[in-house]
Amino acid sequence: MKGSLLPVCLMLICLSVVPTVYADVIDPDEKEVQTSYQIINLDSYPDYVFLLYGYPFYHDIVVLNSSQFSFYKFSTLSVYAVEKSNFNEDELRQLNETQLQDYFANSTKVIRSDLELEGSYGTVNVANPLSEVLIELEITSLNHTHLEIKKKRIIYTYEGGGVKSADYQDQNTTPQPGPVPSGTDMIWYFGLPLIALAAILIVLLRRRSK
Amino acid sequence: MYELLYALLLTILIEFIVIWPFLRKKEKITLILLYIVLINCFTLPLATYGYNYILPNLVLIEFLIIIIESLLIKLLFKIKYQWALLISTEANLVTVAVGFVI
Repeated sequence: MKGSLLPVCLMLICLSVVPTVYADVIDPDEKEVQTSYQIINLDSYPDYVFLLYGYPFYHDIVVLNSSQFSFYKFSTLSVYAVEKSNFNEDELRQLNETQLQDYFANSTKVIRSDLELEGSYGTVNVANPLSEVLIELEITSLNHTHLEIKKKRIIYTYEGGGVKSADYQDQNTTPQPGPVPSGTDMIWYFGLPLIALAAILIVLLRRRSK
Repeated sequence: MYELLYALLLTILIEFIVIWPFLRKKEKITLILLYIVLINCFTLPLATYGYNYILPNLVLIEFLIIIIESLLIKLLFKIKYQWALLISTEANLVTVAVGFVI
């Protein structure tokens, strides 16, 4: 009996000593911001296939199109290009994890970029109305040996419908949204209150003049 | 944009349902509705802007809205400020509660 309790006791001691592992858990005061990417000029390169591949899903590939795409928040993926004439998706999907890693690392058919994409923008305080982030990517150079993709713009979407965007000045610094909303939002935010305030003043002034 | 309009219409409806019983003997129903529309067209877009772009703190924004709406209710419905504050507080608390439920 004593012998059978020993492993349980040891396990409890270990659990009480080892710090809590947070892994996938978000702080109760924080929320995850949904993050998407989009290559805005992908259609300008019809002779190429663009693939998404990387950590930790080395066993799988994603074939990109011009639509928005997102992936697991803890992933770090890269975009690769392959000439259509050199690409066979069925063949690629039959490769195992090691073969795929080798294909993306060493194959002369694969054109690599330096850009790494993170699956998540990160977390923000639950009181922050930020709900979605879209990062627009642009292919700035593509030839048989080299692929260059740059982050062009980030679009912040807020609860309640507010949208703001900011251009990347430096690839390593995520631009923060400016303080002023764009476009027709301004009419909503300031035009309507001004009209309402004017109407309220008219009501009060007319009442006073009677 | 449509979400904002939907929020405005819903807020007007909720505040009308809450405020009307307080003031039905004092004011015509059409005037009550008109004043509530005007008050909310003034406060809701500014509150949304404040929350989205300046200070994402719902409690503080709601507090400011209650104060501003109570002043407007006092002026438009010609009632005592304490009474206006009570009406404004109740209307906005119900609106926030409904917002959370939705």
